[in-house]
Amino acid sequence: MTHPSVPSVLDQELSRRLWAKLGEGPFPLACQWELTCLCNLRCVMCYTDCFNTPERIRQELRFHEIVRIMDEIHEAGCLELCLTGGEPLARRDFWDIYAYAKQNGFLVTVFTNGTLVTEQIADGWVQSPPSMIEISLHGLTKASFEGITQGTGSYDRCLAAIRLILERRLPLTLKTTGMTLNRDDIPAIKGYVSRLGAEYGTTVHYKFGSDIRLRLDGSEDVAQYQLPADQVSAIEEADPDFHAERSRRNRQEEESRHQGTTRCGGGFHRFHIDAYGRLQLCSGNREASYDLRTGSFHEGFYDVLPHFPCPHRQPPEREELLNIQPLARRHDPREVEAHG
Amino acid sequence: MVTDGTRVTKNEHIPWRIIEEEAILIDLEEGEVVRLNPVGAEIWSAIDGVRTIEEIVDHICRTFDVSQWKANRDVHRFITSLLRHELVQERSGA
Repeated sequence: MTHPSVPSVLDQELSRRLWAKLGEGPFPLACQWELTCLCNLRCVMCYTDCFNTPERIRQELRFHEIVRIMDEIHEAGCLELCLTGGEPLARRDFWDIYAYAKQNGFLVTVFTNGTLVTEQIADGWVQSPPSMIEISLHGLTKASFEGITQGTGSYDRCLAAIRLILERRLPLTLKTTGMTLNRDDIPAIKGYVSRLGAEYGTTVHYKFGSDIRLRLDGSEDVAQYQLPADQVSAIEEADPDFHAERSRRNRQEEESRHQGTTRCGGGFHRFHIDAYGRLQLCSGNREASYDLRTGSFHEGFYDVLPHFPCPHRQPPEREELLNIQPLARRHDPREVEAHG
Repeated sequence: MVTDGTRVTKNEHIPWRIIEEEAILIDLEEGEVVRLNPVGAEIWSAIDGVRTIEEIVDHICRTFDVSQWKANRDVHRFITSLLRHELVQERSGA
């Protein structure tokens, strides 16, 4: 039995038609939900790992709270639900959450490191298939992979999970965050993914990313792993698929800039919920939050979210396009003479 | 491609003034007024065709309460925007 990749359809024709039909107003179509910061690995560049502590985990949403919020976003019309973490499978109640989402008709994507995927879980996905499973594959040797995940045995478990999923012909995307530790491995990883698809007679999608995010507690130690722009560019230039994807993103960004919408649709058609039930524009912008534990989703999405700051949501005027984030001066402003 | 070693010069056809810490740029060709906030104005003032992007980042770090990482990211993005709008040009042979 095959499970065609719904997002591959949704992201293209259906999604385009659906979004066009929704018109120009905001509509909560797609949610990324960070179910937990709990994870069995300690990836060196992970932005949620700082909150992977017992004290913080105890503050995360309980199952009954997740169900209530999920009911609200379902009622609001949300269609796509991406469950992420941390490691979502590390939650003991993951299957209850997943099953509830599927019963409510959400198109569910699961982001996972793969290392907790068992035969039982893979069989469960066959019975109730996700739209997509995305697994991070940051290295192609045990040494490079586990140098990043800091988890002994994680390489073998991740590869085993990939095979469990492909044997069941479930939709799979593998993805790599390019960083200083694995920059030379990227072409080999992409080649491996391509061969996997051929071996199993299916398409295994591949994503390459290069943005290292600051940790949620604001610490910047992860910045040491960020590839310089010229090295990212060299990687993208060397591969026709990466190059095409970069060109597509640049065009999309330019189009959004002219239209005055956010680059990613955050707060317009997309939104993010963190592990503590806080509604945000997107996972990369948590400057402002609305607490769904105490407030309603409808109020949060329609009344509050549109006022959250976003550096990518720019009106088309050029003066705004050229602004940069305001900062406090370290000393009194110096006198600047007029020029012309 | 803006790198740490890139040097840019202001478009000499763009008259500008600093007024109350903001930079006001007059794009005569497009018939537009471009306003830069105080951080953008500080970067604009520092662009002289001599300083590299890296040196401008250092200057922003000394002037504003910001980490090197954030300043580096924002200055690169900002100057890329200025280049795209042809308000500055990359200086060749520097």
